[in-house]
Amino acid sequence: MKLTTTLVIIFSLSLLLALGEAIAKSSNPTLSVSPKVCVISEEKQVCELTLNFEWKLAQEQNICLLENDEQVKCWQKTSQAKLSYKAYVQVETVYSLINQQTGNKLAQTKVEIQSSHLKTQRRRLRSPWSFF
Amino acid sequence: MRYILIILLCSFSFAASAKKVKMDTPKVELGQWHLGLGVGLGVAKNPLHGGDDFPLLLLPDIAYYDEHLYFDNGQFGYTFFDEKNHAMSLIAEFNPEKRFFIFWNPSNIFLKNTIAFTENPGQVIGDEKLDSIDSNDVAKRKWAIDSGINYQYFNEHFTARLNLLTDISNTHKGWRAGVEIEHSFHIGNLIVQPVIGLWHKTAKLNNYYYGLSKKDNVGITYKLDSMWQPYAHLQLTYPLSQTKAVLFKLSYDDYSDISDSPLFKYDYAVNIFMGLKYIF
Repeated sequence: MKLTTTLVIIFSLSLLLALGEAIAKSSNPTLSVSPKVCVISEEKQVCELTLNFEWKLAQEQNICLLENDEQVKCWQKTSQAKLSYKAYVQVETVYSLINQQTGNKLAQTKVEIQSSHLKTQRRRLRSPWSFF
Repeated sequence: MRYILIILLCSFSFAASAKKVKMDTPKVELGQWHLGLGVGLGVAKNPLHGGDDFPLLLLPDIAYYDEHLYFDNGQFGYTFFDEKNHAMSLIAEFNPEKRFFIFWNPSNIFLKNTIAFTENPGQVIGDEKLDSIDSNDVAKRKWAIDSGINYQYFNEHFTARLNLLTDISNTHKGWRAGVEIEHSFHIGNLIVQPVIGLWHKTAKLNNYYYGLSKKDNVGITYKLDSMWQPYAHLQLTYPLSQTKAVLFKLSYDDYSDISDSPLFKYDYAVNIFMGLKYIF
């Protein structure tokens, strides 16, 4: 087989794979949030921020957005939406998109928490009074 | 004396079957010495012939933690991984077997006990052996520094620890590997903390401390194999205030795998302490 023929085959296969991936991605449910990280200060232990959600589905469904396991908002027969939501988070929080009828999780994302102050404590690794 | 082990194991199985209460792993302030002192009465029993029981009148609790480095009751460590449920550290500590070869009683310095042994290795009758070699009469056993890796798994209900340590001081030239599980639960105000564990210690380690060689100059030689050593500890704490509490500690270390050595009087080592603890 000539080198040019081989190169053409490899190029065509790569193109097909990339196209397949792009099609698969576009049909996958997506859920994005911004910002993804919140920094808490020593004085304030809770992160108070406005989260911007955007989600897209391949077809219309009855959908709910959950914060950990708590319901935030539901939409009827919708395939995409945007939402601004005022959140109060203390620990890493997972947001999921579920089908309201089946309860199936379609997509999820999370908001991470970072501390602005240095760690002042840590877990003790030996039992106290462990000299014997 | 095995009943102590049975009591400790029972306390652990009771803990396992008790109502599941979340276990609070104690936390320490970084960059500060944590000092506590137990004042009371107790004894560390020495299982060796001629070995002195060590009176426990004061029991210290000394710890210092930095972000990675720590010193905690005789153990130095460097924690290079510390996440929610897992922690892994490089550690170094003195091998504890040497403690049985420290002679606390002044009479040991001035009055040498006579050597009593026969050609046959010891037979255990009841708890005490007939034939023996006095631990005062054998060659000096040195402190060894063991170093290695410590992995801990933290769960809501228990903490599991794995240790793999080898001699870095070229003393016993052996190694030891151990696993232990610690639990903590409350009965009213009383905090109950049982620990059960198992060490595997190599023949080299056992022979250095408890074997007999020509160097010991006692007329016989005695070789030991590797051993499995179960142990159980129980700590009871009854808080009186933020800085004071009543403390009870009991520990049992089993030596039955190597107690045929003529150095052993008993096949276990028991420590018991009861007193008041003060946290400074």
